[in-house]
Amino acid sequence: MTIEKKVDGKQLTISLKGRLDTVTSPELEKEIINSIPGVVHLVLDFEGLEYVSSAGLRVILSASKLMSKQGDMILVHVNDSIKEIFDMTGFSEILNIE
Amino acid sequence: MWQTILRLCAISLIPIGVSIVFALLEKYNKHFQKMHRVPKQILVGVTFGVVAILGTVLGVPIEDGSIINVRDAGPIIAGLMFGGPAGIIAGFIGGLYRFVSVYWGGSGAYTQLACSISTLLAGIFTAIVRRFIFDKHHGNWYYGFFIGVLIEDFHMMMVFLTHMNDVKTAYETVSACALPMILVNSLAVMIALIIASIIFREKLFKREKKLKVGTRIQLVLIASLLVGYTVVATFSYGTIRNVVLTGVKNNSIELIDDVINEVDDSVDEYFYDKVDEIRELFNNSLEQGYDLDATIRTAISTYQIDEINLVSKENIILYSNFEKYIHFDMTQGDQSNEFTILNEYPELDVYIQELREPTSKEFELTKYAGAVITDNRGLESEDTIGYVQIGLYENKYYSLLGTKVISCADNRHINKNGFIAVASSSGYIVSTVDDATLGIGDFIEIEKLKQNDQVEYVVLTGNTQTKYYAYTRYVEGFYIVGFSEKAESDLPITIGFLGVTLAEIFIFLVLYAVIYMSIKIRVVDKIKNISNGLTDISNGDLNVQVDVRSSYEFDSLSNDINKTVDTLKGYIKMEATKNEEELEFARNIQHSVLPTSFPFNDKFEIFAMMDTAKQVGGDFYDFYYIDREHMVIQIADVSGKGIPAAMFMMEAKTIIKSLLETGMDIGEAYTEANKRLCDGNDAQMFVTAWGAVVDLSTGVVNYVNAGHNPPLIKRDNNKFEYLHSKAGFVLGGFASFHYEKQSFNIEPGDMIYLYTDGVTEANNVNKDLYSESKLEMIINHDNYSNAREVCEAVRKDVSKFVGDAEQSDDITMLCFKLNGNESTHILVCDAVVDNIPNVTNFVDDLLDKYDAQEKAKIQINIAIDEIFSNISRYAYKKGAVGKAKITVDFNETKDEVKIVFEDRGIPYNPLERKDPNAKAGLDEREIGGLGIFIVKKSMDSMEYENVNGHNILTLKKKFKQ
Repeated sequence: MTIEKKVDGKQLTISLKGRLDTVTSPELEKEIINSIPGVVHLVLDFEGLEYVSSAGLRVILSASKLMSKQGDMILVHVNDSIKEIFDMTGFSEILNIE
Repeated sequence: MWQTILRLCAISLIPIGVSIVFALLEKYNKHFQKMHRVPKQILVGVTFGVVAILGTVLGVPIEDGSIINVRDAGPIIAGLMFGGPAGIIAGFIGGLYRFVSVYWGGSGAYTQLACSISTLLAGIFTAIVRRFIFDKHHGNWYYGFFIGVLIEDFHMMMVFLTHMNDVKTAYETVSACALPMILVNSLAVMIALIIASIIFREKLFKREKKLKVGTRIQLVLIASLLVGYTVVATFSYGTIRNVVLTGVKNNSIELIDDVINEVDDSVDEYFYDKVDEIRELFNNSLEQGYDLDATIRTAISTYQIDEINLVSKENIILYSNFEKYIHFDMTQGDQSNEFTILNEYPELDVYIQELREPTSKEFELTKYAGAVITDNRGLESEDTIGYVQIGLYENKYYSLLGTKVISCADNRHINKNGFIAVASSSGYIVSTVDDATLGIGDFIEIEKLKQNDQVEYVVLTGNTQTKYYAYTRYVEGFYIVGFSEKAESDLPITIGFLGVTLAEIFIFLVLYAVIYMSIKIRVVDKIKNISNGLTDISNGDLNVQVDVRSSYEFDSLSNDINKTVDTLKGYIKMEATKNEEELEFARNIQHSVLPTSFPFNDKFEIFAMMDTAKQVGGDFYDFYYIDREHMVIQIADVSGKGIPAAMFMMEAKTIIKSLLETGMDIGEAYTEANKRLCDGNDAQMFVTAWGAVVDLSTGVVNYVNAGHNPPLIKRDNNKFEYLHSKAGFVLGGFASFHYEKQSFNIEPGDMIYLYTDGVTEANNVNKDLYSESKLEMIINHDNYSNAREVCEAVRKDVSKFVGDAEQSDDITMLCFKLNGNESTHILVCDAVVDNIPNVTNFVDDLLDKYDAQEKAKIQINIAIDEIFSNISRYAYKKGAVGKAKITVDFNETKDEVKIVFEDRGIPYNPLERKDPNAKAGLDEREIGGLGIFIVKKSMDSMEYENVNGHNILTLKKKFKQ
């Protein structure tokens, strides 16, 4: 998985390409933890992301929790499979998905 | 004498010693034992030939100069103990040497021919005897002795035969050495045979409870021949003696008669002269007219006679020197009367009377002679003198005539050492042969000699006694005695008898051999053959035919025996056939219920075989579907044999099948089957069985072991291994036994091999068992690619092991191979998170092959991620790394995939996890369990099973339309 970061003022956009799964989620987690101090708007761009597994869900959830303290988080360009997963797991309810 | 005996013993040791050496070689030396017949015979023959030569060279001389040897013992021992050819060779060598040794300075020229021939024939004869009487064994030691006797007897006969013109010397030679030669050689042979018997541990005296017929015959034969021999010997001795002695007597009497004549003539001549002269004297006196008495006195003194009588023509004594005789009438007495003849026939002129007792007195012999007187006085009257009679009394007779007779016996030899003697009536010898044992003046006992016609008479000269046969005749007061030396006379008897004896011994021994041989060959051996045949038959071989056809009786006997055996065989066959038919029937039952077409498809392969033993053992194998995905494989071994076993087998098979077909758990099925089998099982038969239900899709094998041999399982491309499991009791044994199912699972490519103890307990001719280790070895020997190959390989190896031994039990086996689809793919790797990409790629490659839709692919990927990370994290204990196996299978239409995750970690059933509450708020969310939830939701099916400690999670997903 590749992680691209774009900082725009107080907005951090993390673009993911590949898969967010058990292997790769620790990477994202690390990145987020390192990068979100001072970020008000976290944008997760799932443009190139194929799928998310439960390990990825966990990272997203913890990121969501973290951001809820200092701002907000929004997921963009979620494909159908991932959407389905979010629906399935009820994450759709608790995430901001566009 | 003792010295001679010792020396004889010493030379005997040579043949005995050599025979001991050969006997020991034969017994203990492998090289000698293994020698080929021809070289062996030559070796033994030549060695004994040398022994024979030594026998000739080392002879022992005895008193008369003959040489005793053990030459003949060599060939006899060689022939009897070692073989005919050896004996013949030894005899030839010994005989040849004996013959030629004379030419280069050896002694024994006299018996050269006899000895050489005997030695040569000794070998040949022994060979014949060995071949025909002893059946090429060496015969008993007492036979050896008699063969020695026979050969030496023949040897002595040969001496006679080669010197027929000089029987006496031959006799002397033979009589001196016959006994020692016979004894030495026969004893040497006998001792050699005894020692050989001891070496070979044979009985010296064969004792059997009942005498063999052969022995009886031999004893009868020996007894009769002995009787015959004695009769002939006695008869021939008597005859020869008679003939010889009669000859001697006749010979002697002839000579005596000659002497008698001479004596008679001498005496007559003397008296004739005397009486003639005295007559002339009286004639003269009468002519001259002299006084007759004076003339008488003159005559008495001049001519030394005792009595002169002048007898008248009237037979009256007119004048005599004895007064008392005057006027005696001569016709008064028989003796005197004889002289009357001179008066009756004066032309007789002289009459000489034999010496006898005269009329006038008794006990005094007198000889009278008379001569006719020519009467010169010419007076015819009673005074005319007819004749003059003179008389000589005993004393004067003997003294005067002794000298006359003295040469009558001159040179009257009877044969060489006999002689004639002339003796007076008192036994005083007056004439005899020069240098005879009796001389003139010796006395012989006439009274003894007069007793019989032939009298044995002993003459003592100094210390020497000479025996004679004496014949006596009497003439004119003299006893003419013929003395025939007894030794000389007896010699022909002895020679003759010796010759007869030798010939008799030879003939009787040969007769014995021939008769016995003939009986043996014709009867005893044939009986032995029949007896042997019968022994074989009674030992169980009914195919033996007795085939002794040499004569009518034996032909008939053989036929009868064979017919009896054939009849017996017929009955036995009938019984066997009945038995056979029953067994055949049972075998047919057994075979008819076995499935014979062996499926081989992409799901599985089965191959099975059963080779029944002669005795129907009641094994069976079975396999059948109980539904599309489940196959039953079964093997069993019924106890007992024959039809009851076959029927029990059918019952067991049917019950189990019908129960399993209801879908019952296999443990329960066996439990129920067992109950039913025990019911009514009066024969107490039982079945060992191993059966399993195989799930063809999951590879799960649920099995029951009812006391059967552990099957061999091949898994993961490893070697076949025995599956040791808890064994239940045999079926049909204990009605309330509860059978438990056990399980294992197999993968495509794995094999299960079932068998009965006919395989592991197959035995070869040495009664070794094939064994489980051999089975394990052969089944792992090669990488067999299908079930058929496995079975055939095992079967072949068992056959090779069994060889010619008879198959004792059914050899039954079944091999099951799970094929799975060609599209079975397996990945085994460490259960670590880092391997998730590997597994994902592995599966993706396969999915791509079948053009899986993207969405499904993603879902599958996620599922892999979730499951595999679960396994990695939780399956194995902290720090431990275990393996996980992922099996990917596609269905026939290749639109559905089955993924099986297998690990050997902590048993964990993810399905037990409750679905997380999707509606719960973020904070309450339990992250855990989401993964499984996702998988559950996105897969078509998810199943979990724990088999033998393996967690098995099976996912199915259709990945395209």
